[in-house]
Amino acid sequence: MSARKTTASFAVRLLKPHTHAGQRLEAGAVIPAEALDLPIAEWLVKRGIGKKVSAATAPVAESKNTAEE
Amino acid sequence: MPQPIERFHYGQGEVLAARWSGDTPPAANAWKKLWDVSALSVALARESFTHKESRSGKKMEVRDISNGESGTVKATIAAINTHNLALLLSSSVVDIAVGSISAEALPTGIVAGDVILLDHVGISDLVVTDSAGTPVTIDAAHYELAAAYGQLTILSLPAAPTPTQPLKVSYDYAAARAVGILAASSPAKIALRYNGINLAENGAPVIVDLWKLQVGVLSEMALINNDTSVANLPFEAKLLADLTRPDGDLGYFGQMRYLDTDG
Repeated sequence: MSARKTTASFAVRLLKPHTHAGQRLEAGAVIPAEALDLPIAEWLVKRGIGKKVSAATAPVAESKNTAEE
Repeated sequence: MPQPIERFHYGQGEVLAARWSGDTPPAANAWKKLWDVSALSVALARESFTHKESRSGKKMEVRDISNGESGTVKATIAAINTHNLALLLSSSVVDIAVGSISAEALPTGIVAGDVILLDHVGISDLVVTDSAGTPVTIDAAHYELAAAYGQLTILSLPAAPTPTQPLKVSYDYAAARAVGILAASSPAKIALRYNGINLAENGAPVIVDLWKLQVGVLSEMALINNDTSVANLPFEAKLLADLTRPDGDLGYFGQMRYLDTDG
């Protein structure tokens, strides 16, 4: 088993449609940090499904928040 | 009109189908090949009743009165694709786009030996994590994935630290095509075209159109096979009158055509 990791400190903005925890989300939607375990957040980014954005980013698809990393 | 020629029939050929849309006949570009059809036959019936006279004392039949015309088409479809299945399963083809899932929670109480069917098939890049406050990724040595089938078998669970359940899976899934079973509210209505090759007459074309058929549901399909032949789809449909056809000598059920004028 891999070493323990901390909970995600960032949100993920989806680059393509995706289902997270049973919820269907469209590209552009933001999965908030508190809904993301770190391994899953890293998996999403590594797979190119989403990109890291600030944990403060509002969890809406149309967000104009510019605090993306 | 000259004497008809002597003609025999030993048929092979291609069969196509096109769906009606409600009461609207298929468009000219709605045709789909059924591919390999190893048998095709049409049976027609005319129902009638007779009247026997009562004045001679011999009760002889003096009238045969038509009481309806009907027909049945039977085929054996060897090509088992989603289109053919949809016809016989009274359903439609549903395209499932490629996609991804994260944090799909498995049931709690997972133990070694459990077999889990994921929500999708064609799985890749699977990771399994737990629900601890600081979640961990479960090493792949603890499970076995039959990726095509979306089947996950838990081989063991880490001993220390013990994972916190529910376990969660994240994965990509492939595009797929699905066909429901008896999903439509009514059976499919189709037109059928047989582009026949008459081997008894040097491959001469025989063209049969059946303008309106109501397709029966799949009576049987062998899914595990032991015979020395491929599985097939038994097809049976009821021939209906296409009353959108103009009045004329060809009637309302269909036509058979030959590319010569002396047969």
